[in-house]
Amino acid sequence: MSVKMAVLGLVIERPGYGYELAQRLHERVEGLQLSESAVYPALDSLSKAEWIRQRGRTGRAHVQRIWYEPTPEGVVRFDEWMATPSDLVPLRGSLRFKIAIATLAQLPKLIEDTREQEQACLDQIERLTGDHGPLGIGDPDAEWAPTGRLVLRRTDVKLLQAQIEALQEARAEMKRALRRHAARTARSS
Amino acid sequence: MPLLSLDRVSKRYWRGRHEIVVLDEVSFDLEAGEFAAIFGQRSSGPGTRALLRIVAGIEPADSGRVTFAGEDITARARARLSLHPRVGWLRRTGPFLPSMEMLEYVALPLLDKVPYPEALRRATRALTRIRADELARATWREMSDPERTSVMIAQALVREPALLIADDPTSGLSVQERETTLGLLRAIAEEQDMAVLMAVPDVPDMLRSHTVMSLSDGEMIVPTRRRAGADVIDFPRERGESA
Repeated sequence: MSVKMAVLGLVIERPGYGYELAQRLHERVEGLQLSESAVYPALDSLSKAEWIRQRGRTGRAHVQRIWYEPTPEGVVRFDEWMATPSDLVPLRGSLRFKIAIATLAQLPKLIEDTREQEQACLDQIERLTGDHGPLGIGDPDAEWAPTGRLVLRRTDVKLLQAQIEALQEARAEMKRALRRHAARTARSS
Repeated sequence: MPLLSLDRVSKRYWRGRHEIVVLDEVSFDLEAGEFAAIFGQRSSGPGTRALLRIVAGIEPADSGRVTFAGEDITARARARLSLHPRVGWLRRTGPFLPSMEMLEYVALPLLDKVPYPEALRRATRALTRIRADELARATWREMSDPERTSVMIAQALVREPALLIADDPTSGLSVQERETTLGLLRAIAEEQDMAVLMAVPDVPDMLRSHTVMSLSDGEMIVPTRRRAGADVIDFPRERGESA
């Protein structure tokens, strides 16, 4: 779903053809484990839904390039998707795609998304906190079991911390971009 | 009524010509006996430090309101900056005199309030509570890091504060030492109905707390329960199972 919507966003940004869209997607969502061919089924399904349409062909007979442009419905659907809350796999799931293809106008919503996801991470951490008992130091048989549980718990929380840090950094950069934009607008007016 | 309440507290610093917002309308409540931790990356260090100092009464906020034990300490901080008498601040430095024994060092915050023998009695009690009574005669130089941390906790507790503030209390300790120290701190907090507010740069060290909030770029995010639970905070809770 996210790849499909990201491709739609790229077509809305400017019309393109399959290979070029795949290149753009790779450029924007770096480190994406996705083969170029994933863009073609996305284009098919978007065409079927009539969210994009063919705009024409270029190239010679054996290297045909089909150009795509968005339909008005496609634009509406994309805006809807941008406005939906992102799933909680910060910066891996849909939020990652949204950040990569967002325009300045969409950043405030995404900033709000990072806040919500950070809060969800804190909620998960809260479920792991508490007085998890003594460590069983001194009892040779019981020694490892509680420590092992503790180590696992710390590992879970460490992963959540990494997510929180990534969200905080993403939010800080988005806020900075908006501030820079506001300063430029103020200067030019 | 919560023990501590922050209402849209803001703080800015100037770095050259640049204004840095380290606290941007931060609000949260803390109940008596509650152990709360603030997670901040190293980059938000100025924010967490400012927050702790404002709560302790040693730094004024630019705007917003801090209420502690029913008293508006924003007004107090503007009048005079000093550690609030009911707040304990966990320090990390040893005595000025290297030969000073820890019993006396722990008693130090009391010396201008109670007679010397009484101060020593209370210091002994504080050291016993943190299970560090064997360190009474030790000097700073002779002690390991976890021992120093225990002594500093005892010193912060000696005035029997309603709120204990700690900035990264367990840095330099091993995982087991951190767990032991923070477990003990939590037990004392619950026993004495004392609230703890601590800032730690590493979330796994916060596992002994009741709640974890995060601060970055001046913004504080709090868990949903805290945000939604207007006046009822149910803790201590049953501990959740790890995923």
